[in-house]
Amino acid sequence: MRVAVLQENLAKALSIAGRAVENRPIQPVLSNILLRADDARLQVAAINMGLGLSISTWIGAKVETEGDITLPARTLTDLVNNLANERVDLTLDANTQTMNIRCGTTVSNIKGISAEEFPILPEGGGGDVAIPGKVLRDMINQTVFAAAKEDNRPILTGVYTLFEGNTLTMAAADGYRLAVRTAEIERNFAEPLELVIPARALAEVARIISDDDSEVLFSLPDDRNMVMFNIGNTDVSTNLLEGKFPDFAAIIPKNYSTATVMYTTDLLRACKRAEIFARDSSDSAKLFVQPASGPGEPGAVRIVGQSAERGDNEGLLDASVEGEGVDISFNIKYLIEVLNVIPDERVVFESSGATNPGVIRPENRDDFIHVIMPMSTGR
Amino acid sequence: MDSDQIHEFLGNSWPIYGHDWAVEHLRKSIAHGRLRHAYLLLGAESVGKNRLAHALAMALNCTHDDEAARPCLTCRSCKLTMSGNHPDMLYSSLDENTGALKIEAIRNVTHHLAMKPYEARYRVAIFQDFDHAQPRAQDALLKSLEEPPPYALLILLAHSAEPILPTITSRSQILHLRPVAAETIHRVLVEQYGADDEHAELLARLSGGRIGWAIQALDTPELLDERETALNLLEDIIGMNRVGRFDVAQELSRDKLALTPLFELWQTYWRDLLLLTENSAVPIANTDRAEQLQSLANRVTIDEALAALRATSDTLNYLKCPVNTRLALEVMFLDFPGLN
Repeated sequence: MRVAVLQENLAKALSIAGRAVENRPIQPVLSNILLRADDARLQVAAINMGLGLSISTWIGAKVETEGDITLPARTLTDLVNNLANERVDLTLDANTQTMNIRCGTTVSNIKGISAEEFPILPEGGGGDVAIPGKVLRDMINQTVFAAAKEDNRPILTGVYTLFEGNTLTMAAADGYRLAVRTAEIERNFAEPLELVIPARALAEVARIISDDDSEVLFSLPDDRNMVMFNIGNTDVSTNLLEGKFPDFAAIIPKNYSTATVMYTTDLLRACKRAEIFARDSSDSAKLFVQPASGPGEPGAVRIVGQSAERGDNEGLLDASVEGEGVDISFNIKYLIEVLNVIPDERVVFESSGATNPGVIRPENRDDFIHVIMPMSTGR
Repeated sequence: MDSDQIHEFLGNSWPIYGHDWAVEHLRKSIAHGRLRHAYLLLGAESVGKNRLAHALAMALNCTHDDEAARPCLTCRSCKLTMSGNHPDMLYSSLDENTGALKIEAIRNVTHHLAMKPYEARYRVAIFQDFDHAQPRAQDALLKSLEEPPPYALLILLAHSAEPILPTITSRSQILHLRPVAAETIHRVLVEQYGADDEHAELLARLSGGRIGWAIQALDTPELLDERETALNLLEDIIGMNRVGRFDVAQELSRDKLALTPLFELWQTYWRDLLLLTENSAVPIANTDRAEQLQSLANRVTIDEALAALRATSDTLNYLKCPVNTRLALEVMFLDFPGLN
């Protein structure tokens, strides 16, 4: 194997594929990154067996001799990141499985493991559904944060994904909150198709999607129960989670006694200030929704974060309040996380009392809804 | 060594020597579709447990067309299994500091075990030194043992079944690997590994039936040196007073993991001593130390030799528990002969 690539391209490819490398994998070869040169391009790939996630990306290369090798991800990435932005020459000594890396006046040799030892990477799928990249990225970002981080209930570490008619629905929940986002897609699914895709894998997909208007090609499950996202020069494939995702439609409140409209950025900042003090009280902060005192007067929302040791913070926001007043406690980190992914100018907060789940959604939009359980105030 | 050679030697292609009945049992189980989902392989250090576990995994996942020829040792699946890089082979690892098999290590494997095989027919999990797992850690395996996915095979390796919970042993098929006969080891070393007759003879005898040790010692002469050093140390200790022994205890307690093989070797020494003090007709194992052993045997009583052997084997058991290693060693050294 003898190839020449640009340092910038190689570093980028390693940063993309490197995200799949496990910390302490069971099989030694999985701490390595696969490099495969063929046909004027270099494939850079890694697999995480624990997550069933593999990322494979291709960069343009001047290929003199084809070949493949796996190299320790850490060593290779650290080295390439510290090379000058110039041409990098990679030459493999097949006898010793050692890669000679030459850039400018720097010469390094990295000992590798034969590519034969590397698991077989999933083949490129059919690309069954085309989804605009930006739409998919928003859908993922607006749901993955709500997925469970612990795997006490493995199914909740995934994002429920439903193709039905022309609608794609994504939903994630961790027992305390639920995020549901829908979008129109071009392909029509006469038969609904339900999948639960690991949130970790989706987060990688969202990270890789670039800002241009390209489409992501999604391949439906193959016989190995894997799905694949094709994003430009990168393929991300992942195992699906098995099991039944809880019926979340039942959790979404049908009505409310108070609806409050606020400016998103104002609310987000107030929440971030309250969070500083709420850290000591299990992130619990209080929202006091106060209806207008009379016609022509604005309503208000008071947000309070308290720490017995460090002090407190109180913020007052103008709000248009419809319905009765309510005092309710939330995990303020959850509020911050959802507000972070709402780009719209105003949000609506709907509540039906201090012990019932509240709803956060962008104003005048019905494709995103977030349900959040209040915290018990302990009184 | 290729599979033809092995085939000629053993009549089957399993690269296992000296455990013919176990191989035959497993081969028949596979052929008749009666394979159990969990096996507990018991036997001394280096007797061949790990190798048998790998052979079983290879036989199950081998891609050779002829089922009788599995494992072929040449296909991708067999090769990856041997190199430790097969994506469907799972291994538990011992805690680096304490040498215990921790609950997290077991959970890490069962988490992987819950997923379908990546490219093979079976996901095979090998738990080395399962007797190093505390009962709470062993419990972590129960669910996988009770409701294993159809593609899962669990192989537990241990020196003895004693520290293993009955809930585990009752859910696994136990195969007890005996020490391999010295003649078999001798023959394997000469015919399969090209050792010269005399060297093979010595290794076979010193190995105490641990064929893995003998094969390894052939490649790495340092093992023999290590053994030499370990026995020298023991003989030195016998000549020391309490202070000297306690210094050695402190020194040794720094590397807890190295103690088990050391004490197992010392056990063979004490056994030899016991045989000599009793004027037994059974030949001693450490023949190269016959002279020192005999002179020691003339000086100690049967009870003293027995006390030393007991102290060593008790300490081996203590080491599996969270004990103060240095104190355990000090107590053991007090029971070694030569103090009075």
